[in-house]
Amino acid sequence: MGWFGNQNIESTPVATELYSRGCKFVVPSGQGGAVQSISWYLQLGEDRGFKVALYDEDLNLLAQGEASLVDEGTKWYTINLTSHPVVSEGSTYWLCGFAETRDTSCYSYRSAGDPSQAFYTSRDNLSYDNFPADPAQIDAYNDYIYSVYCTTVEVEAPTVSTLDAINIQTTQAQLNGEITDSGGVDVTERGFEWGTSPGSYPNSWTETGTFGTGTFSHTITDLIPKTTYYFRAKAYNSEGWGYGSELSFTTSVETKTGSFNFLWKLWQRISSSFLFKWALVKIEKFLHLTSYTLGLQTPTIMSTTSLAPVAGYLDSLRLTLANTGISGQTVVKVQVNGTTKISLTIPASQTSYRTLIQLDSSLIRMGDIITLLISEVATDVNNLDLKVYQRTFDSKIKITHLFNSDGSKEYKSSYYFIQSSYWVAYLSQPVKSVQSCYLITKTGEQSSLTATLDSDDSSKVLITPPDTIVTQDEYQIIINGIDYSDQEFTATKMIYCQDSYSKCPLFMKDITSFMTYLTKGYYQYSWDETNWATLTKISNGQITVDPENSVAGGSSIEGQRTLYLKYRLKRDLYLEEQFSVGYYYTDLKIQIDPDLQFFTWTDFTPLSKIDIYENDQLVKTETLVVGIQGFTDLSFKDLDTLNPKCTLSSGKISFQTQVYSFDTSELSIDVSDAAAHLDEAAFYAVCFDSLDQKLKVVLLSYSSESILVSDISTSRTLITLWVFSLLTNDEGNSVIGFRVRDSYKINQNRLDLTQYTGDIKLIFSDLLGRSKTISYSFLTESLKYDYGLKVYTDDSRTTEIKQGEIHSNSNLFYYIE
Amino acid sequence: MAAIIVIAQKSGQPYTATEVAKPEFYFLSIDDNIADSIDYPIEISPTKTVYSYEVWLRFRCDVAPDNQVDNFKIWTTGTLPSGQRITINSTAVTEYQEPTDQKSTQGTRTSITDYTDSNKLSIGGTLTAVGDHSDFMVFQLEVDAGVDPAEYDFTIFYSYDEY
Repeated sequence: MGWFGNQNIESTPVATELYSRGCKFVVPSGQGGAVQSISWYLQLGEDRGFKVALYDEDLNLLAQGEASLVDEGTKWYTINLTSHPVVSEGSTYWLCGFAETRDTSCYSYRSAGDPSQAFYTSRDNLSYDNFPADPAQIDAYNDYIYSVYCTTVEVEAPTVSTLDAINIQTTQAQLNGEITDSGGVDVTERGFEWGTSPGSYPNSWTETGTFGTGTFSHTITDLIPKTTYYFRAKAYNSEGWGYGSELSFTTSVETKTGSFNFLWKLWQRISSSFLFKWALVKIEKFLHLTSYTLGLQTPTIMSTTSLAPVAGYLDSLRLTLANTGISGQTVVKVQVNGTTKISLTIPASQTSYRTLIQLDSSLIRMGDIITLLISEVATDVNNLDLKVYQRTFDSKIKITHLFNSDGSKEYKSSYYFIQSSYWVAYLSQPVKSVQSCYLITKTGEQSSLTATLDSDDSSKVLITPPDTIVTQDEYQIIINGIDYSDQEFTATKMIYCQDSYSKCPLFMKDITSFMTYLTKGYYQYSWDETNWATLTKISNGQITVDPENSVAGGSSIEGQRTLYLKYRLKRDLYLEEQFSVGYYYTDLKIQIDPDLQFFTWTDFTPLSKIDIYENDQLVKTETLVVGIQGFTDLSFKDLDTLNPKCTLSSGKISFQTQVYSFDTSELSIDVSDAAAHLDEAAFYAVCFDSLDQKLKVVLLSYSSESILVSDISTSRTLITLWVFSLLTNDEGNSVIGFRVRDSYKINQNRLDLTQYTGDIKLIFSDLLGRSKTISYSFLTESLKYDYGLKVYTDDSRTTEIKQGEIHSNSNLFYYIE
Repeated sequence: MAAIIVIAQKSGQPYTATEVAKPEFYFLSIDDNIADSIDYPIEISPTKTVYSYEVWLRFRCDVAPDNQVDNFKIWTTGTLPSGQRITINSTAVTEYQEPTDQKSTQGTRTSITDYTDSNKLSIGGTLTAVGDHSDFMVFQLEVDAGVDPAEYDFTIFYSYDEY
């Protein structure tokens, strides 16, 4: 701390509010430094403002100050300078002062001196407000020395404090500092420096100006998130930099949040079961076990024969007796487990007598002891020929079954089926998967069955039947499945399929009904060929039969039964078809031999020979040719082979003709309905031009909606149209199957039956071009049914033959001349 | 650019495993990161505790952050029905293994409900580039016998630092 000026208290007061006054001093040795204040010895008079100024020797203003002084009598009053220039020892400086005008005078004190060392400026030239004066305003110099001095301090670097950073974010923060001591002179620069390591500050920020003490701040940016920064404040004056202590802060981070979900579903395994019974199955060829030549006299029981078990399962036992010359009456009794079931008397002298004794499955079961009691009175027993046939089956196919999912409901039915490849269980609802399937016998024996879900309908379970099933026994099937509905599923029905499920034609629906794949039309059905009921539901070629409704015998169907169907091609004309159910007509029975009751087409194989009897007389032996040759050799007498719907089942041939005539050289046939029902890979239409004897074959595809047959030789040509498809028989060979279709339409002229009087001709032909023309008199057959005939000829003309107008042997003629 | 961090489920055998990012995950009766619980629910055993297939999740970086993403944490505020538990590894699992429906042995098994807003589970991992991923979170559902069959869901919260 130093000073320069005059600290002596002079004796003469002079007014200082009337004049600004100044005098100059030389800074003594050791008193240089930064000026801080000017002290003036004053008689203040009253409170007033007082201004001071510091000039260099050339009257260049260096610093100034002002203070509102409180009157405390005559004393030294100190006024701080607003800036702190450095004064050098040996140099000369002017110290000036000017009191604010008040009611009283303010006096400074002076003494005489060098007139060049002092000056004054009157208030006339310089107001208080305009102080300090421009040197040009100085009025005069005088010789006064005032009691005034200037305090100096030694100049040092500024003293700085580093304050905490605030507003710290991910990439920026506000740094704070304070100049607590400017070092005696003005601070000309201040700022901060920082870095990420302690004591190392590669980054700096400064601002320039004239700064005194006080706080300052600066926001630094582009920082690294989640990073600690070290920083310090700094300030600079003429003596150099002053630094604050090091502080630090850490930039923040952005915390992001989110969520995710877990979902799951829990379910319980539901087990359901259903019970069913079944029996009988496939009818195979008779097995010729033995023949007996009897020679005992009558009426003695001559033979007791217990039939040995045979492979497979016994369906029926049949015996044929042929009396080739015995003279006496012969009694044949058949006992089952000791009980006579059948008693038959063979008349004497019936040299051509042939008969059939049949024990079907309603009378015998596996394990039964069959006893034949034969009495013979003939004189020549060797002429009595007895042949015993056992008919067996391979199991797997049912005749009676029971679905009993809840133990309260039971249905029985009987039916002929061919051997099935699948059982299909209909469940009450779709299930996710089938876990297991078991077959349980009445005695509790359990075996696994292969069961899978239908890939297209998860409410159906395809079950592979076991190899052995005992006829007419009860079994239980348990299906363990997975279901998501938390409800038990039950089996509602079960079907038996052949070959593949997709082609399965026959659905057993709750056993009270079945569905079969037939063509559109109008159907009736019967269990006994006497009572007929109309099928009411025909949809997409499938019909549903409810045997418990409306048909006699339907409610007590048990054992082996045959369902008969008949249908009409047109609206009111029913044509008989002894039940051909399913795509592969499984059980067409044709009355051939009164003794044998019936034959089943399933007995035949290609080239089978059939003995045809009429009135017990062998008429002829026919060779049934099945296959590409078609029906050219089929001419059974008394057979309804002329019915265009005659069907072969084993050979898988069905047959249907449509006869149309037209008056055009081009025939367009709408087969859209047929195409919609095609199941086979190929579908053919054949037109036979009767005039030029040309057979035109058109190959259709699934998508064909019409066929166009052109190049018809002339108009008025009898055209016979067959529509058929290729099927596969048991041997895997392709055969031609004629499909039953009744909805084909000819776009052009339709047959007007009223115009024709000739015989209707049906022309059967095959792909080899061979043909056979047969007169067609289906009305004769139609008279079996109490329905009239309505023939539609075109849209406007209808010929209707009502019931009663048709009589036996009536012929419907139509013939194209 | 802000990072995109997804949660991805890895499934399958190690050499053919696939990874699918999605917001919802399923406890299933198969190892599959696409199927949902409608098709593959978990069967309740009448006698024993059953387990879903493990669900292997991890955080994955699909768009890189400016610097990095780390400090992964998960927690939940939910509760599970009686007889059901969701477990997770509380210790690091870094090597993928084919998920199993047996009781998980991945890491130290803890219940997810142990981790709350005030006690979050940290998941290791520092993600700086696309494809980087955190450690695995191996979840598994445990279902005791006799619980009610129904559909359930459970929310898990997560956080991470991005900078």
